Amino acid sequence: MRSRRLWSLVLTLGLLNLPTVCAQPSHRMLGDACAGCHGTRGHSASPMPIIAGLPEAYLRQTLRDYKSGKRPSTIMGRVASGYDDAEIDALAAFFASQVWISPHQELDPKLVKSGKRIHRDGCSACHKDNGRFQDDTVPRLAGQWRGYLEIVLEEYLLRERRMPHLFMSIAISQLDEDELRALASFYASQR
Amino acid sequence: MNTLSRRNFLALLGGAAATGLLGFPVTSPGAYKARVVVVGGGYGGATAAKYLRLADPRIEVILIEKDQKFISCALSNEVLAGERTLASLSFGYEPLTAFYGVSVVHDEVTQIDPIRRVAFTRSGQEYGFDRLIVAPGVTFKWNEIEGYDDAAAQLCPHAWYAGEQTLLLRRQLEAMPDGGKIYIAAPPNPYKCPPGPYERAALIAHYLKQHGKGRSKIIILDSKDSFAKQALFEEGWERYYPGMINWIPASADGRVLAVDAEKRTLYTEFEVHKGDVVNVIPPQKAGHIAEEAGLTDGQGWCPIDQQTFESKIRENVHVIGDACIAGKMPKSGYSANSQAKVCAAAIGALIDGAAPPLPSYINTCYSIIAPDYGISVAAVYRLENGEIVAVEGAGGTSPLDASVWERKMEATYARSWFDNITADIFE
Repeated sequence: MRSRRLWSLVLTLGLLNLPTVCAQPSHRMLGDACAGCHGTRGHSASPMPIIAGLPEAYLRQTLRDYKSGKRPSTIMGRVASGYDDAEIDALAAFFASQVWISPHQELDPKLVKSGKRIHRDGCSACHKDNGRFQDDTVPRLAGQWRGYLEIVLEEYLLRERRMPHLFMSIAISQLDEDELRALASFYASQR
Repeated sequence: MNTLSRRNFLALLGGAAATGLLGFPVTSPGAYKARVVVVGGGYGGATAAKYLRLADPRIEVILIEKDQKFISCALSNEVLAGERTLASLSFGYEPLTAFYGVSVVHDEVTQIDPIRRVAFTRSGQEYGFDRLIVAPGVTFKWNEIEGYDDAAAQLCPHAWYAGEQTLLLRRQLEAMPDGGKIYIAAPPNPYKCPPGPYERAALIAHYLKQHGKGRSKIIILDSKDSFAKQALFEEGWERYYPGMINWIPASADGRVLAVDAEKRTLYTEFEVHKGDVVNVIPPQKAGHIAEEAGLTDGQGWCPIDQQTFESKIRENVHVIGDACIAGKMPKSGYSANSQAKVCAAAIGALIDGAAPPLPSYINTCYSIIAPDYGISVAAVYRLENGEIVAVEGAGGTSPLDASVWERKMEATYARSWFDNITADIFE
């Protein structure tokens, strides 16, 4: 009885002394700073990735992985480290709330065609609906910049880059460079 | 090209009740709640103009810029290298008007009355304002290097504003035979674009190698004893241009005291240096209008409230970009773009009588040492006790032991940064 009263007293005091929620810059303030590389509201010029409208959980995890170094990067690790968890949440929410827009791209129809075949055979289980599908762990690929897709696929191939998604590395390692270029062109062609 | 075409932009605006032909809310004169005049249409001013309109379409924005087109200094060293044209660095102001309703006036502000809140232009116009944003960039301290003035710059170009000066320097490089000597006089801190002179040395060396002038030498006479991304530059110079670039720090008599522009001769304390091509990047201060308007301190830069960018000297006048003292942020294009957004958000709030929002700032500076070899420095900034400081444990420079692939990607991202930021500003 005594310990329960003590415990509820402690709880009450704890509630009264709750620290004020740390004020932080707004979603828009944080997100607009990124436009210099990622374009206004995440609508980029090639080959920076279009991040407008990607899934919130995916963006959050990606930023955290850049920050921790789990996902290698040239510059994003240094940038993501500049934000705490709450700010990363805000950035993810900001870009996830933007509208995805597929840009016009000049693509080789032969590559698009062979890429479609490779997608069907190996990628469509996760990257459903021709790469339009997205969820917490699968980003939209349909309509992404061909140049960016080529860069990321190349990263999965490079032994020196230890990408966080082992499953992806294994899947990609089965393909050669021409096939990766075809895949990139295929997804880029989808809207 | 950027994804954001005009049609898509309209889709993004969505929700605006009374929209005009181009989707931006139409307001009749008098329906504006306030007017902001922006002086200077560069990385800072043009960003501020656009983002003010994005923040609140009921704020009238007038951008006064003397040039018809903006030519980016960032990436202009690639023109010297022969890797891009000046046209690729040029941007018009029409989209700011067409898509965002910014009134763009091509004129030069020559005087500001901060009490009556009026800006006066060279052509005799007057613009009343509720708030003023001054984004004039830098101007040169003529004759701080004895003999180096505007006339001298026609013989020994600075090319520290892109355009004619860039082409002049390029023509001089083209005319120079193999085995020639190129001098770059690098300025003391602070100045616009800290890594710029060293990227220039690299890209001039690239040009020389590509055109059978590999026996030529580039000597940097520096007023400083260290420079931005130094270890990375030295590593890159050694890899691509061994023996071609020689850096003389101030402590080794690198500081240029005088110039004889006609004779292309530079004088340091103990030496006389005669070059075939001489590029003098002179000491700098805030753009002239800032000084004229009484916004500068003893060193020639503008002290400001680092949350709102409001001048500490003149109420209702804000200064952004190279001209202002923004804590630890370097004088760069991305810094100006970042500061402009913070300033625009602050002004939007202040006009509504609200507290300015908590700021967040950023900078990344890419330098291209060779077409497939790039390096970078990045930082995220926050406000701490009224000062802009870098977030600890974050940011920094590219690693020294980066792979060939990483350096290639950084060069790719450098060019893409340029495409993205200019679209963020001018499209």
